[in-house]
Amino acid sequence: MKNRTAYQRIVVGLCAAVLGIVTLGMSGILRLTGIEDRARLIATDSMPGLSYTTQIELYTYRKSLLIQQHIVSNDPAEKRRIESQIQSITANTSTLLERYGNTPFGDIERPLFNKVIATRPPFLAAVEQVLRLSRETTSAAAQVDLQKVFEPQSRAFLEALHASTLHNLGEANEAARRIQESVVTAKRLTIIEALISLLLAPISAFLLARVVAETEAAGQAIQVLNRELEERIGELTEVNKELEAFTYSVSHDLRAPLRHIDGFSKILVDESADQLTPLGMRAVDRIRYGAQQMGRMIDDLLEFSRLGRKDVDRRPTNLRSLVDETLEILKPAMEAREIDLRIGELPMLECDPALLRHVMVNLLSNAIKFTRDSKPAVIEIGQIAGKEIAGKEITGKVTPGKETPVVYVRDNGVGFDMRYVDKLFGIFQRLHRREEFEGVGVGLATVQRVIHKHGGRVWAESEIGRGATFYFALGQAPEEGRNSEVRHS
Amino acid sequence: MKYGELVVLLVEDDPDDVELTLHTFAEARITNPIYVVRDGQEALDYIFCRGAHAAREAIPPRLILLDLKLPKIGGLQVLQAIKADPRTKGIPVVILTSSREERDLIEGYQLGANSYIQKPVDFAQFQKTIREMGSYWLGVNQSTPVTI
Repeated sequence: MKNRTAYQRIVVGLCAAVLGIVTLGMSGILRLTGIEDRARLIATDSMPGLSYTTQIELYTYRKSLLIQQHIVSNDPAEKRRIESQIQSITANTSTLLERYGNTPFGDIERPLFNKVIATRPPFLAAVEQVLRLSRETTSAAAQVDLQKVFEPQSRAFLEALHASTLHNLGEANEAARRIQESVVTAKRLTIIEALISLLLAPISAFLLARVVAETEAAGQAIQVLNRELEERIGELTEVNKELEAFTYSVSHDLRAPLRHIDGFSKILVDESADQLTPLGMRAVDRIRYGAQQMGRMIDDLLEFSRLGRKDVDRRPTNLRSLVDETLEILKPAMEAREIDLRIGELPMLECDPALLRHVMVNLLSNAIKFTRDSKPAVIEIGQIAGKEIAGKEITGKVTPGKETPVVYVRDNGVGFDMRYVDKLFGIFQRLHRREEFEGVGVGLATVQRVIHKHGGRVWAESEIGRGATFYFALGQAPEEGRNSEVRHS
Repeated sequence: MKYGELVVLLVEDDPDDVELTLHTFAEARITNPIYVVRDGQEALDYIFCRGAHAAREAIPPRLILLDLKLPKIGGLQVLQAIKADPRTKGIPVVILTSSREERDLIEGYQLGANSYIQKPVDFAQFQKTIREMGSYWLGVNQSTPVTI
């Protein structure tokens, strides 16, 4: 069963449905046929009134025949036998009439029945009278007269009975005809319904099959895409490994010649200082500076690359504690400096504390570095609760529920030209001359990389000579848990 | 004290690094004799008195300075061999390398390195480091007696 395709399952299901419809239709038709048969029975002999009146009519005819036999018979014994038969018929008639009287009557039938009841006593009286006279009469002439005496009452009663019979017969026929009509209509409808179902079943099967085929095709497309994706991930992992090997080799191999340049330059200065001209001394000094600067660049680049390869391990982090730790690390840079540190309320962040420490170290060391000439230096760290930063609407930047509160680091240092803000977060990009402020230009690139790894944004605002403000907000941790950040390389 | 008991074994493939290290040792007035081997194989041969060093008097070096990136047999493998053998386990091994990869550091210590020094680009810094290292491992520190 499990190996069947959805298409096969639908066909099986539809076949079952069609079978069900046909079975139901057939049983409906059979049942209607049963009704039809009963209707026929009603039409012939099941109308209660009809059966009573026809029976009584028959009795009455027999009674009339018996009375005529009684009249013409000259044997007293036979006359008595006939009388007893007549009495039993009368009793039976009474019983039948009583039953007939208990059946439900229609508007037309009621007066007909009443007429039967009304004409019976005179008939019975006439019968009694004739029988009484007949017992003593023997002459043929008298017998004929007697028949004449009996005849009118007998006819009246019979006519009344017959009227009722005819009526009931008509009613029964009408009812049966109607039932038959209904049954025929119902039968036709059932057949049409079955035909329509039979017709619709393959159409719906076809349509469903198409939907299923499309779904299956989509599923297959997804599988293909997934396979491709897995292959790409495999390739990426491979590339990542190569990259790791490369950075490892860079870390080891590239630094070695730099060490040699610096080492031998220093030995040159130490051993031969007296033989070097001032320009020569300066040249060696610049050689050593260049080598060391390149060493720093390689180290920073390696650190930057290492951060990029690191998985984000999110956990609840008190940003205030992180800032305090960072300031402890930066203590040497703040020595002999007059810095007004203003730390506002800071949020709890769901982030990788080790990675975010890099952000805080870079932002704060920048703030310390670029306020070198500000007296006093003011560095503010805080969060933005509302939608405004320094009077500027930042709607569209803050997305509650998707982002953490915006954290900012503001200084009153040299600032930078907003025209070059695009270059600010690029690797090895510097907006200040090297002799003014040291650095290799990896710090803000690192900041941006860490923030991006947290699904967040970082941006800056500044004005030359009036300080700079750096803002960042992290993306909320994914619902399903931690460690699910996509690796960036 | 025999001569062999003072030997510092420098395992280093790069001749420039060898020169700079020896210069720094001399400058730091470290008087121990320094024996230089240029790859992992030679280092193991020296330490375990095998191959070209089979005839060597079986006295272990006082200190081993080990680079990690070495021809033939890598530094970590050499370290593992030293620390796996009860006879050489007690020799202090200082990793002296260009690498600042975390995994080298972790693996180095897990294999039993006694110290891990990253060679800085700044030569003055390197000189300071070697001085301090020499005075600690060859002066302050009391090594366990070892015989091979």
